[in-house]
Amino acid sequence: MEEPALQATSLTKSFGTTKAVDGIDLLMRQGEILGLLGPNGSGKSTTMKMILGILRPDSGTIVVGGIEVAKNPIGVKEIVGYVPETPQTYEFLTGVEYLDFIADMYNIPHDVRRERIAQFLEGLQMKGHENELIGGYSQGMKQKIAIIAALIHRPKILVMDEALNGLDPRSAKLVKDLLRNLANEGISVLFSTHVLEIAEALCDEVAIMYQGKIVANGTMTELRSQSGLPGSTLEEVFLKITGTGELDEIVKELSK
Amino acid sequence: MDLRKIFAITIALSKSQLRTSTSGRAGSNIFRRPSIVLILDVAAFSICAVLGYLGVTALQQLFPTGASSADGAAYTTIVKFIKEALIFIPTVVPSSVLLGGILFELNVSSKFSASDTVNWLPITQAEYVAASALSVAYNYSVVPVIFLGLLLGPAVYLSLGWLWVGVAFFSLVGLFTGGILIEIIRAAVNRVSSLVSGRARRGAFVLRLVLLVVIILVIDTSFNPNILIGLVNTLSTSLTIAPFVPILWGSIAVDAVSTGDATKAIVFSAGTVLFTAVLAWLAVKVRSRYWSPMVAAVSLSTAEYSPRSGPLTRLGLSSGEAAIVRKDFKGVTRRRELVSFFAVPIVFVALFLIDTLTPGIAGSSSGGSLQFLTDLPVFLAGTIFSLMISSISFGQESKSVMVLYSLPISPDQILKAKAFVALTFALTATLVTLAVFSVIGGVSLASFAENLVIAVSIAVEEVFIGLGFGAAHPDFQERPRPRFVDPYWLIIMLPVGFAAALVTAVPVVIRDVFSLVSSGGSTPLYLFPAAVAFAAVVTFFSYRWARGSVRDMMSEYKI
Repeated sequence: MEEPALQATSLTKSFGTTKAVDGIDLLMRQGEILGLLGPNGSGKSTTMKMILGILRPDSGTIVVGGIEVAKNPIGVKEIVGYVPETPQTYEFLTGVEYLDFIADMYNIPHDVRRERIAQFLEGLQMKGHENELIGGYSQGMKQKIAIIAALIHRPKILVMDEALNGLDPRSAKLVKDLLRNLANEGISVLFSTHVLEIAEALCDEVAIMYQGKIVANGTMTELRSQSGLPGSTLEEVFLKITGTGELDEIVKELSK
Repeated sequence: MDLRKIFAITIALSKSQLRTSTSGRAGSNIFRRPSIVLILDVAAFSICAVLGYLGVTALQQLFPTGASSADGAAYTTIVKFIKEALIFIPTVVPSSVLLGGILFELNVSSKFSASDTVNWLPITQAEYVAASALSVAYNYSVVPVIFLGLLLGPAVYLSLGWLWVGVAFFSLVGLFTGGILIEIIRAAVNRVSSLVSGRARRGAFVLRLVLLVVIILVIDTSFNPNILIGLVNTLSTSLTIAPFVPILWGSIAVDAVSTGDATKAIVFSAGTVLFTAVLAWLAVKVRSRYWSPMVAAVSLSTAEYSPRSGPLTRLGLSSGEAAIVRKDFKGVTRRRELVSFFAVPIVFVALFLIDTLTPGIAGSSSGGSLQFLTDLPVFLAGTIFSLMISSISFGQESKSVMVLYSLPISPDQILKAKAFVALTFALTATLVTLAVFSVIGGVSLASFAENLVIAVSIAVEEVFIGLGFGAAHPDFQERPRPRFVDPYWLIIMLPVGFAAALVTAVPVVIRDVFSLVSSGGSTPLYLFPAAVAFAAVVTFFSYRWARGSVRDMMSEYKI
């Protein structure tokens, strides 16, 4: 049987008295795009940071690409690419200097990195801006740099926390198509987004988190079935599962 | 000008200066409310007033009949001192605000200074400048409060109560003047930053640093208390000079009030207010002209990207370590909030030199004292610079430290890279300072060699002390005034660092003391290797502490 790209078991994480992640199990197969959805504060980002070894779980185990995160976090980071929810870069570096910095961290040979950086800059329409300081970039341009940084070492697993935020439609489409191609090549993608249409179109499976728990998990067909809403959109399923469907009255109140 | 708007901005800016943490509930913490400044002012005034009253009581007991007491000359001297102190306050207040501003205000990140708000809210530049100066004045109000509290009792006792009221008025004006000067420096420094970022890549660090140091030195020297004290002391005899120095006008007005010269008092009082108004006008103009509201898209090169190995990997650094070193070097040349960390020690050494070597202020220096005076800045600069530069190594990553957390680099590699950067800067600064001061002081070759050994030992031990504190208590918060190190631990770090430096410098101190007293004695030679051994032990334990702290820090993202 094929080894899963990611397996998290009984994962728990608390901050003070708040239980951010409450005993979740997560399985992602190789070449799969798994969407992690949920309202703000549901525990998605915390889960992703634990998968990467940035946060330590209070309990539970995470194995990424056959490597246990708690035992070898550096080993996990070598095979994972991460795009945080807000692009954290060094704003005093130029775009290309930052990518060079990242490439150094992964020890990518110079000729390889030169070619990859050039391709990504061209593809994401960043050509001509590569020598500008990141501090002067727009939000979308910073996001593009963060995406390139996550892809530059050809990771086996991608962890993307709302990675399409701020991207223009062309770049968003390009990244989505790229993710699909990468998945076809066997790269696994854990992908969180608030744009449910993107998740519906892109993800092979979806896990919905709510108050630190995974409340639904499966393919779109399975989710529709679980929620008792056959033929519905992911938005309808999401709103029903997370109990945030009573919006009409609130809208009426706010419109007064 | 809309006073309500000015008041609202003043409160907002005051809060941004007090609330150095972006987390937690600001409203529930009294120390994060602007009212804490007022409470501290009242407390400081009360305590100082009591101390002043106790002083008066002692004076009454020592001199029951005043000037006609047995030791009448001493009484007259004390009275003269009190009067001069009152005269001196209006001059020292803006100087103190300026010094505080240089230390704490100039490293405020433009991103968080809340000053861009003026660009999209219906607020004029003048309203913003007034509010900003008022908030600085308010936050530094404890300076005149201490002086005024201490001198209240003596002033009343000497029937100088009305003079005290005048001094209080000029102190308020002086506070505002200091706040305005800080605004001018901010705008000028911002101009320097834009100029350098836009036009120079190579040597940008040096150019920015030099310009920053020159700006601060020129303005600070113009308001230097030592120079001004000398001038104020000569007020009675050198009135021909003082009227041409606007910052002294407040003191001249107070002096005129004390001598009953109403015309002069009115003229110089009006002059003081007018001078402050002119500075305010200048601050508005400078800010309007030089404040760039948004970060410009600065392109540093047009060259095609071509990765190079560089010399760092040949020095034994791994690819990842070298990348961090290169990144940190670039950060220093491009981050305004970091440049001020480099500028402040240089400014302090330069001011120390100006104060001690300016004839007529510190008096003439003998050969022995000159040796001492030229050695001291070397060790002082080495200590301050090494401590500051190394302690900010981790905190300066700010929230971008997340990048390091997500990359395959070990804590030990990060520490190695950070130590490399800090040692490079600390040793360079120490050696340059040593060379400059050795030339100025005409230090003998033997003394130079001794100083070299001790200065390098101090720089190395201080770097690792700083790394220890910086790694154990980093502050990654992006805030109006980035601190990089937890301020409580910074307060502990400084005496620890100074104590270690002092012990290491014992052989040189003994040598210089012998030189001062011309006793013909000499430092036992074994003290030098002993000092180096002491520094090595401090370095070793500091390194172990830093290593443990970085490992702990990198084990989990705790921001």
